[in-house]
Amino acid sequence: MSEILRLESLRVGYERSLTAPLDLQIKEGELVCLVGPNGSGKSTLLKTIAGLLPPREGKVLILGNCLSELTLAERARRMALVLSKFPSTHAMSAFDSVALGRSPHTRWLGGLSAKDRAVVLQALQETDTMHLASRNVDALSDGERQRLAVARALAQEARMILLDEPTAFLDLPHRVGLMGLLRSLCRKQKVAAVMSTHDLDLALRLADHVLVLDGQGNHAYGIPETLAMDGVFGRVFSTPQVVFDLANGSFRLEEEGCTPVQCNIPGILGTWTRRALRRMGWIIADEAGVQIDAHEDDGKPVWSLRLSPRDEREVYSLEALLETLRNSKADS
Amino acid sequence: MSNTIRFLLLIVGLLCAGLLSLAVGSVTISLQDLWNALTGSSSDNVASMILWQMRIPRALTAVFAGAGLSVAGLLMQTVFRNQLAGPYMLGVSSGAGLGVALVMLIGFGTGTWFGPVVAATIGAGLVMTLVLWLARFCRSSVSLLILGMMIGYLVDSMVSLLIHFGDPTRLQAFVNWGFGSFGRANWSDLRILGTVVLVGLFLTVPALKYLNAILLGESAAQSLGISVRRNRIIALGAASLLAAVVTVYCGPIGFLGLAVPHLARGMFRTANHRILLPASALCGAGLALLAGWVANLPTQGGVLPLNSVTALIGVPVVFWALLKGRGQTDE
Repeated sequence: MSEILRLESLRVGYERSLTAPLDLQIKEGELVCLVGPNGSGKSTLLKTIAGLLPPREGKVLILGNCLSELTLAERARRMALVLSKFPSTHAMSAFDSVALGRSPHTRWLGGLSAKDRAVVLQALQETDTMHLASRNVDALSDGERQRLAVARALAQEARMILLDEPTAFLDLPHRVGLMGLLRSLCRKQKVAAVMSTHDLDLALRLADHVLVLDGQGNHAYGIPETLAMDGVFGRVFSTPQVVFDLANGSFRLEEEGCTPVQCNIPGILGTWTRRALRRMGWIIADEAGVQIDAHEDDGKPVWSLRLSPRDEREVYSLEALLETLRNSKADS
Repeated sequence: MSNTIRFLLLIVGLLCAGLLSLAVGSVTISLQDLWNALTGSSSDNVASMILWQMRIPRALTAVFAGAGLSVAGLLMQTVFRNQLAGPYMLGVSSGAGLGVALVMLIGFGTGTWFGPVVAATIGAGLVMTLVLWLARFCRSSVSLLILGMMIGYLVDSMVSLLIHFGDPTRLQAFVNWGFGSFGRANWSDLRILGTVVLVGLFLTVPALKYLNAILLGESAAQSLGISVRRNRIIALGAASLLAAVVTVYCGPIGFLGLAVPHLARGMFRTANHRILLPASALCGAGLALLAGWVANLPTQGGVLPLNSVTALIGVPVVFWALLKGRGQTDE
């Protein structure tokens, strides 16, 4: 796999450096997520890679060339930028907004050749936005506009797509949809993408690599699972109220006086029972005084709850189970 | 309806407006006489004189002024990404007026044809730079508009000071200039106005790609391989030049520059400047012809002030843009 982007001892920032020297290499087909608390320098790093800000130290190499040796148009043919908000454009059609991606390829008047049109149509096809082509961009939803922004990056025929919080204004289905689109584009089109996001959960599920900036100038880079096991997410993102749950791979609210509970239910019923228990502030443990089992009665689940060796009861809904547990906690 | 047909319609409309302003006025000239006078085979010397000395220069002035102001307005709306921008609204015309006042009242560079044009362009350019600098600090298009209007008042008050301390013998000419009219330019003025407006229009051609891309924002335009800084200077420089030269020969004229780009966008339903630029120029030329014609209709009190006619056309468009763009003009 060939290298698309390389950072060599890169430090970024405005008045002061926000990061320690950063060395990394991104290959084609990779989707890299950039995560970190507010102010940790995610946007600054992306702007520096995009060439909108000069690096404080070090180099950005795109397809083997340092940014400083490329003209603006040459950079734009290699690298595209997608921002979180598509501004209001008076009366631009979706097709025209994607066709702007041809700017670094067209001549000085910006007219489209037959080949340019074909590339734009292909980009609309890839992002599943063909049906929007003649619509006014201002009239579209945020999710549709962000797909168009990705289509513009494809029309640019850039090998590297940089995205600065592209999912910030999207609801969950559109967030998942956009990230899924990006991942499949990376695989199929042999491009690489670096996106900053606050959506750690999705980043952990979909990214090939994650770059974590901790806000104190340190960073960590690797595949998401390794970073999770090394406790990086816990260190960077946990607060006294919110902790990273290693067993579960996600964040949860830490509540006072958590009690362990043992849940012996297999399958889907077990998954959702455990989820409900966690939500109520219980900790799932391998062995605990409080035990929960389940069996089926007449095709319906019945939960049996053992609060102590002498206190066993049966309940017929998940809600009743939680209610019983809450009452027993209040009693003790 | 294709864009070709829309352009044909605009051109036909422009020709009709031209015909109307040549033929109909305090003296009505029949089409036959009009044709004879234009081709030089006229026996009617009065009609010929009215046409060549008054109506044709006035119509051509209106065409150049309308096209120039409308393109200046379009450039400003795009670069500031503000639907309410225009040379008059943001004080650029006032800046040009200050230059004119320095020449007419104090007498800097009088006697040369380029004196007023250069002074007005410098004035307009200075206000444009100031507005551009202020625009970095205000996110809302309405507050930028208010800032621009305040700059306009400030510059106008400087002009009032010049009037106070200026040469009283020159005052009347300056006051007349301030009313705005297409009727003052003579043939030699027209040559300058026409040339400078055409130069200003052609200056915008290399900035076309930038004008389309900047609608997506500065970072996005730059990431599309377009030099934002250089093109912004070209576009706003051309807008200053256009607004300045029109202001020199016609006085401050309001609302055309603001309203016409909206009409062009509404008619062509596009944000593509390769279409919007010529469309605004044609549409502006036609509207200016009509406004000039209405202002010169025979009334008891003589000629109507041109600015009240353009305001009648422009203000409803501003209302429409404000209400339609609610929540969109602000980012």
